[in-house]
Amino acid sequence: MSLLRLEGIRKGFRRGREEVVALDGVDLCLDAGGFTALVGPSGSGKSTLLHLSGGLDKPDAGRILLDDRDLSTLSAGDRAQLRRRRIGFVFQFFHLIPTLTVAENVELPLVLDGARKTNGRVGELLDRVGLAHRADHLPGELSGGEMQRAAIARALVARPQLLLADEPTGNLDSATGGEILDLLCQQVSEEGTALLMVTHDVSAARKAKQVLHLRDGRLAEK
Amino acid sequence: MTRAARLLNLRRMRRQPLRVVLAVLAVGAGISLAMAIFVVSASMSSSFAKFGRSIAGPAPLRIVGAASRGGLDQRVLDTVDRTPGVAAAVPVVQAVTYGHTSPTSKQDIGVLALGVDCRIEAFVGRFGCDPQALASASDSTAPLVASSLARRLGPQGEIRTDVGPVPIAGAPTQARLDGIAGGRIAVFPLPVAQRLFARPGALDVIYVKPAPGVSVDVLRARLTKAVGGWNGVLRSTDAPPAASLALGAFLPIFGMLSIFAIAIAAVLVYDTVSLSVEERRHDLAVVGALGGRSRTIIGGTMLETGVLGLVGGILGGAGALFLARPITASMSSFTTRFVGIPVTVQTTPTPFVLGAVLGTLIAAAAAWWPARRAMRMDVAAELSNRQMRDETAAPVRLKRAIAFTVLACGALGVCWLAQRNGALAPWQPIAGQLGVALASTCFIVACGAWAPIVLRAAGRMRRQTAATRLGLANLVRDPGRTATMAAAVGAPIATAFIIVSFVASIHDGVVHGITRGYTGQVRVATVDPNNTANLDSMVSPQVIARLRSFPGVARVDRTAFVLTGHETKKLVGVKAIEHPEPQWRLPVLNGTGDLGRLQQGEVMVGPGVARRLHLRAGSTLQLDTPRGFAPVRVQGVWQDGDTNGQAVTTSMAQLESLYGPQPSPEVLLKPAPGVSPAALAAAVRRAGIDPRLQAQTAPELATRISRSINAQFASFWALQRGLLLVAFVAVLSTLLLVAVQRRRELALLAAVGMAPGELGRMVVAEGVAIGVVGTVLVTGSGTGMYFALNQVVPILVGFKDPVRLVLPAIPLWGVVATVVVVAAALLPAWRTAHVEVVENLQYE
Repeated sequence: MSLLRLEGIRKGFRRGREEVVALDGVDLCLDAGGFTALVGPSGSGKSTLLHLSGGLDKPDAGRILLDDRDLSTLSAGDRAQLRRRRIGFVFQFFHLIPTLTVAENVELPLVLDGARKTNGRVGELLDRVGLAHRADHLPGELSGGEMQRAAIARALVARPQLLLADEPTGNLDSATGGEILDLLCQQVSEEGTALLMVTHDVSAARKAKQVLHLRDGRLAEK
Repeated sequence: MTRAARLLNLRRMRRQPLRVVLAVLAVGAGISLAMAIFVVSASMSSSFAKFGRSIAGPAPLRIVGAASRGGLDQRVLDTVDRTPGVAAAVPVVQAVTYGHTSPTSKQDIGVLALGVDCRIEAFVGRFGCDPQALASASDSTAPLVASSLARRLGPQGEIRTDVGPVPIAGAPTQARLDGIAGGRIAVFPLPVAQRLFARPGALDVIYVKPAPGVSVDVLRARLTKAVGGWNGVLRSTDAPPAASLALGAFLPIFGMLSIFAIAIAAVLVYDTVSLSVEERRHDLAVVGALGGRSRTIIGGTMLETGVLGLVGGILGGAGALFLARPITASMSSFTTRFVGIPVTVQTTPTPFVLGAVLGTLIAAAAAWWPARRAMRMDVAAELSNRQMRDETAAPVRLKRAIAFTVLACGALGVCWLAQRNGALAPWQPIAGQLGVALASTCFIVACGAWAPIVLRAAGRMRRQTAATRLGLANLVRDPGRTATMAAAVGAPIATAFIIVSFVASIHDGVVHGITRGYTGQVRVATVDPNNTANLDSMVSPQVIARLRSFPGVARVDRTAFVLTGHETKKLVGVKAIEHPEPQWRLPVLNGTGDLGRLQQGEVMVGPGVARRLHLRAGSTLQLDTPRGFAPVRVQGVWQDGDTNGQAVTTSMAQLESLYGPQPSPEVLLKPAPGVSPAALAAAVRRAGIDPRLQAQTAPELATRISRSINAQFASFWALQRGLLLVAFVAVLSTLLLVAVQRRRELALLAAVGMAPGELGRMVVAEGVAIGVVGTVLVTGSGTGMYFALNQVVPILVGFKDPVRLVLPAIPLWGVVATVVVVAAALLPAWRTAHVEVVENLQYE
């Protein structure tokens, strides 16, 4: 059964006076437990597609269905709730809050959801990503790999059904990148989380069950 | 939400103490100026209430007369005694005068002289008072003096009265009196006080104690009915009505300036929050991406700002107490002379509480818009770096600058309309104050709005260093912040210019008025000329008699002044002079100003009383007198500023028929032919008729009054210093935050070869540019504000002074303000010079 379905998605942006079409009639299907890699040149619309899938933005045309719920019909509050509870984001530049410790960054989605007790889940995840010893450190004190592991822990803390990763290894060396990918693959295989990953990294894309190629706003299976 | 707010907002505050300090200082500075007024008013009320309690003892009510000096007919006492529910009624003469440590001492010590009879035992307990002894006491018998006053005056001390000085050598002392009026009390037998202080058959107050079980309010209503509407029944703790004259003009002016200070503080908080929100756009986008609710974002920002406002408000409360000191000192010098009550700053929790509330509200209001903007941010665009600020466009807001300039000029027009024809219409004072508030705000905003436009023109000048050119470009492309800084810098310069110009204006007005009115005459008095008409230290009849026979004196003209009314907003100053010279005639606003018709009982009224009571030529004015209401016919309205425009000029005969024989606060000597006023004044001074006697020609008098008025501007100078602090905070916080926001750009400049020193000089150049442009623009805006105030202030204070623009004050204070601004730019300059290149070029 499809967890995530994109149907006829079109999205454009205005840069000054110019209209740029980022996505032009994109269809995509991702099953629960599936792993799809999205590759393409810079500016092809990969991140835009990811943001649309996570309800961060609305398409100009088309439908985005998450568990058969059309995201475009949901209010901003409902979409935010989805992101808190059912979707996890992993970004290329980690996007950790610099004034919060690692543990506080990881628990942030739960705090935003009003959860009172988070220690158990946070500790479990920090163990899983190998950062238990860094729980009280600030992001500025971590290496790139550690920051991305913290970001992954944050993305997983609410037990999401869908994981959206935007160039998760883009800012890491190959060894560290490999570790990160292993973590993500582990999540897919062990927890049944669906993973949609944008990447430039060919070797990372090979780990996916399906590789889709995005060029000039159009999608093709590679 | 609370935990999220703690993590995302309050945690950030802990890690950015300097930003917190700046925001708190901005709120504190604005609040303190506004709260200072509250502290002054509260201190005055508190001081009056404390005095009232100490004087009145167990009596909760007091009856006052139609006039501030001896305004209560003694026969009212019988009426009070007969009123059901009165347990005790104690008549008192309460005179405000001076004491001195010796006949020749220059220092005036305020003394409250009381006259009581044996009825006082009903309040203080029996002490063996002998009514016959009191009735037969002579005027030369020394009074009962508070121990502390006796110590202060010393063995050669004396107390001035309306018939001359009374030595206190050998005077009995009473330590119990030390607790009343700060221990500056002297008590005379009632008949003696009535003679010494020119109150034959008259009293100042009757203190009333209700019988057991009688409600104070009920008794008050009965007494009000019994004593007649021209007398007043007040609570013992109520302020003396005459004391309100001190606040009459001061409060509206200071109020307007304080509202302006709060507006600047709100703009600074808005700026700080906007920049802070902008700086953490990225964090807010991440929170949004993780599913943060809109109320988390907006609520957290409001909470953070609310905390800053709360702390700033409390700090403002402390600042208010500090700022209130010079203002209260100025008010106190007036109240001490006018009603014998000194005022001190009362430290209570209220300014802190009110300051905290006001600070929180202002901060929350200022943060609302930036918080909403943050809530509506395009998260996806922010995370993709699509929503970068357009750092190349430089919108020049010419329309805004023109619009505010036009609005300011329009407000100036409103001020002009408000003062037309003497401002006799009821709507004119309100329109005037609104006009001043609008003109001041719009002129300062216009000053800020023109700043980036002027700077853009300046940026085209040749021969600029790279640092200067970049600094000017930074200011031009951020017109909003540049406007705020320029406005904040312009405000203290404009305030200083206005104060200095008003001082010059008042000086010239006083010189012109005094010179015209007193020309060819010599003023003789025992006290200084300003605000001393209520002092019971008048020129004695013996001195007047000696002056009448003094060589070179052709004529001695007595003056008289009576402050009537017992309700704060209904006071009228009735004055007269024997044989008024033609130059006494003031500009007439309505009707005629025929001095001859004064002798026929037709009075001239000032613009304030004319407006309040709708008086014009031909109207009938009801004056409160000790024997009832007295109708008098109004001949006309003229520009008389005495008593804040609430003055009525009559003939001496009419005044004394209404209020009884009056002592003279001053007399005017007309020199005999061939004798100059200067020679006569010198001769009178040399003669030593009375050690206290002053003799002044018109120019000497003008200088003395002018100097006395200047001293009252101390509070406005304190305000101006406060505005300099606000300017400092404005520039420091803005430049600091902008440096944080532009750190990528600054890192790039450093990366392409701009030396650290040059980077720092760029920021300093911004500070200098702000100082200079603020100074230049305030020439126009400050002049506009001055004209607005010049039109409207006469409506409040009664005196119309000529326009005087002391333009050199602008560059002088411009230099001071620029130095302050450059000092504020030093820390941002240092930080900019030490920007971390690699770290900031990698900034996400």
